Amino acid sequence: MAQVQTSEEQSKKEYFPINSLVDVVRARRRGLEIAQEMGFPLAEATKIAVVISELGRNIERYVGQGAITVTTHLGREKYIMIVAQDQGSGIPDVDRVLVGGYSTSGGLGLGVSGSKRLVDKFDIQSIAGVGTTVKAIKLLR
Amino acid sequence: MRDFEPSELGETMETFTVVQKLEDLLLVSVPRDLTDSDVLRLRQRVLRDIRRYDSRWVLLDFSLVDICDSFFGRFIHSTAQMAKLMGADVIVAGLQDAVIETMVELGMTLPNIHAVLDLDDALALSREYKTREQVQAEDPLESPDSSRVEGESTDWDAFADSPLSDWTEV
Amino acid sequence: MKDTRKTKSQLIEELTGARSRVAELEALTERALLDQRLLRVFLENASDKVYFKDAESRFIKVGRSTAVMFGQSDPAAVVGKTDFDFFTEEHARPAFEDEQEVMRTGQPIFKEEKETWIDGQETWASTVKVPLRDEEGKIVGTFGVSRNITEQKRVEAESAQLQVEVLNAQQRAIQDLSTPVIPVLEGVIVMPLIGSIDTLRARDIMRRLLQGIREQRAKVVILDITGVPIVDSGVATNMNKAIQAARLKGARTIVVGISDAVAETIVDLGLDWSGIETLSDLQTGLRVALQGMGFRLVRSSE
Repeated sequence: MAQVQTSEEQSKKEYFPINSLVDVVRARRRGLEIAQEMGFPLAEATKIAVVISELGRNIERYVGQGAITVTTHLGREKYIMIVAQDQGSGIPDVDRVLVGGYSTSGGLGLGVSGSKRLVDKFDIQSIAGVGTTVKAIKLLR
Repeated sequence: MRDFEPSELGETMETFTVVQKLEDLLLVSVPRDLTDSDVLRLRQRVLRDIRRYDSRWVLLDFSLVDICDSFFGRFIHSTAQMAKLMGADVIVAGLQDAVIETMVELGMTLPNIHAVLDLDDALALSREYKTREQVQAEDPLESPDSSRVEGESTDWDAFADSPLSDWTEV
Repeated sequence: MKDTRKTKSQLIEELTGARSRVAELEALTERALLDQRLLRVFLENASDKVYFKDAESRFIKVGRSTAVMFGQSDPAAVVGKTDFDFFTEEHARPAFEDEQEVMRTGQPIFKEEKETWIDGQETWASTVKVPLRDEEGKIVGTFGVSRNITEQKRVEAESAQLQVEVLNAQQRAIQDLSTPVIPVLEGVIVMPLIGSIDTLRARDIMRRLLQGIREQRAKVVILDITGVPIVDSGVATNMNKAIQAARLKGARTIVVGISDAVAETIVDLGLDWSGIETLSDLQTGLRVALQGMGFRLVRSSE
């Protein structure tokens, strides 16, 4: 676990390779723990775990392998950041996916658009033939 | 007695009886984490047992589930669809507070499915319906109380994708 | 040949004059020595840090307290040094600038400042710096007195922290009061909402609602919004979510207390509340809830 510490701020990162559903389960369980340790109330920590689950499942189902990193930031601004990356063929129409209701095999749309509602900041970068990176940030209030 | 083998999740799946008959209910103790293949096998088992026991209800007990994503939502949805086709209604019980908060945020409101606090209430519900249906059977002239959760057929697929504000309460 | 001899009276005059001059000088010297002594006593004993600096902010003379503060047993050892020899740039630079300003404007400077030491320590001081003038009144340096207020600052900070904690506790208490869950008969709970509902409060309401249903095993929730002045689409959406959540927890929700204004807003905003059970007031809501559970209210005749 990499630890970066400056005099005022502290960031910790945990890395989860995603190659199977067992990996997704492990990542979301640990995500739930990390969020609670940070001080998120259970309901909010659950939302974070769900986002990890949704993004992880998408990687597993559509690409087969990728990674999720969970970063906790405890400086003046406190937040948790989830980054899901894969090197798949990319999402052709990111905007439609974000709006919701778009689903190629009965799942992608709800997973991603739903996740957006559970966090404070959400971003998808997808390049055809190169891969996809999804970032989600939830602030600790 | 173990009648549902653990899946590839192994370490996270506990070995206990997942599907049991309880009066006219088929009690399904939904495991904490499910893979796609778990879902397939579980559904097959449920449908087989509805037929075997002629169950009036499928009771999905979610007390073990603490992380419920859209995958779980689709599991409930598809199980309910299939059970309905076989004449059984679905009751969901034991949803944890944190899980409910997330489901509601995701727009997963499970319309057309009964929801109760716990197994006691599920039993109470089934007995209440049984009494009502008995009364009806004895006196068919009584104005029919909908014994089954009827209504116009719902666009189940739309449930997965449409926003919360489109839904009206059953 | 000139007569260089002075007359007797002339000599006496000169002598008298010389004597009184000497007496004058002796008196002046005594005064000066007294002043010097007083200054020495002062510098030796003053508990506040006293210091004299030249135009380049080098110490010319310091009191014992100052020397001790700088870790020197002899005040003379401080002479010729500057703040930069003892403090980090963070404090030494603005201190220097202050002295330059005092000398430029001829005006004193009073302030509370944080002293950052080279060894890493931090202290707080209440400081006054005034211009130092020579006999002609020309400004040649500065004179400063500073008092250690580190302890006061610490107490101030603690008190401020305590205030914040008290405020938070008060806020929580108000929240508790404004979002109670009141159990009434047999599995019916009433949740009166009072005040405005923002996103954070909505989350709290949802949490308490689910907790209340769980603890009371409630089958009916009466949500009384008489006390909610503004229902905009945000509030309405949050209420919808709460109602959906209650349902998933096994309870049916009846909303009561919708005012004319709120009713207008709901319709004007195009919100679909047709699926939400609403009744006029709490009394009606209670009656309907209990009846729905199979109870009948009968007045016992005595």
